[in-house]
Amino acid sequence: MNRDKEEFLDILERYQGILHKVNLVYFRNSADREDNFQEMVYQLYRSYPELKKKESIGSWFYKVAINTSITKLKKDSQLKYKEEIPEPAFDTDMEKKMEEAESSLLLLKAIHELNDTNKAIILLYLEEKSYDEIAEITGLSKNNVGVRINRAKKNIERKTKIFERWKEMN
Amino acid sequence: MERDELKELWKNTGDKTPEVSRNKLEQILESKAKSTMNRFLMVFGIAGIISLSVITFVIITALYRKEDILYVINSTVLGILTIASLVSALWSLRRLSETKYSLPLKQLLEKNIKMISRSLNGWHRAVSILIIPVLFILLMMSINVYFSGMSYLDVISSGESVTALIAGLLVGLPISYYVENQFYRYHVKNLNEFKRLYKHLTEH
Repeated sequence: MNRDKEEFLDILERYQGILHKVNLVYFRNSADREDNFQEMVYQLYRSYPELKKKESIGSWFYKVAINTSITKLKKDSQLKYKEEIPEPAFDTDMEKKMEEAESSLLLLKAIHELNDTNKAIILLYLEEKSYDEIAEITGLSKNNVGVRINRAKKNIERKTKIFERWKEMN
Repeated sequence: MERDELKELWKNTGDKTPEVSRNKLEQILESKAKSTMNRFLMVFGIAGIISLSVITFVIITALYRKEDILYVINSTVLGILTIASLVSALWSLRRLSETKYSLPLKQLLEKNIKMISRSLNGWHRAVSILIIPVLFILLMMSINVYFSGMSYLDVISSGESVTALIAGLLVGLPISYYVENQFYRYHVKNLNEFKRLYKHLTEH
């Protein structure tokens, strides 16, 4: 195996969490996520020579992963709409596990309701990226990023309240 | 839900997906690269085989009929247009496959919108519409003249051949335009989707 590929796999192994999170935000079931994971890995490998020249690995991973996912969503108009979240970790007790899973599902549902570009912005915000980094990844101005984050946060809070109320009613 | 809770909750949500092993990552990369290459080779192979067949036919038949100057001109134009179409198609395919995913999202969308708009509205579109009947007529004339055993001039002045040519065009052209239209609609759909995303990203 050549050295570039070895280096790339080292980085990919370390940063693959980013791909899983982007997948979680953009795709609602495991089959679509698996498909997109493969596409992201391939596109990252294709863009890898550019990484050597510049910027932080994390930002580059987010950029390629988000762009690939948005392009894939555009291609696949037949994506299935069944919410699925990964199984919770097994180091917590059952009740807490269920609670966590429900809250996670609620948050994911609210994020899925956002438009595709706001999904990227809120993901980067939740991942503790600075406004400068979010602006760099999306190509928007810093001010615009701030406005959008506030709007998306309010939107999520409103949605999660609606979902909670809906849950109580059922 | 308190605002700070969002980030906390996200930590619980986002970190649950199990990590993929290095071997599995390598397998994914290799199989994806292989399937992408196979898809490219298949498109390249089909386009290449069709074009090569036309060019071979044109060269061989033109050599057999080199005394018929009109037939040689027909064959030469047909050969040149076939090569030009193949090169143009492969060039477009290459440009499409070179999409830079490492650009900021806004620039990526702008670039894609510009590229697709140009191919749908500019001279590319006019040429692709015009070239279909031209290629079709030249190919039909080439086949018709060669197998009829008559000269090019005799064929175009014979009522029977002109009727056959018109009948061929009536059947072949709608099919060709249908296929071309399917590609066009696919690109229009892509363009609209990119425009929609761009609007979402830039609207205030």
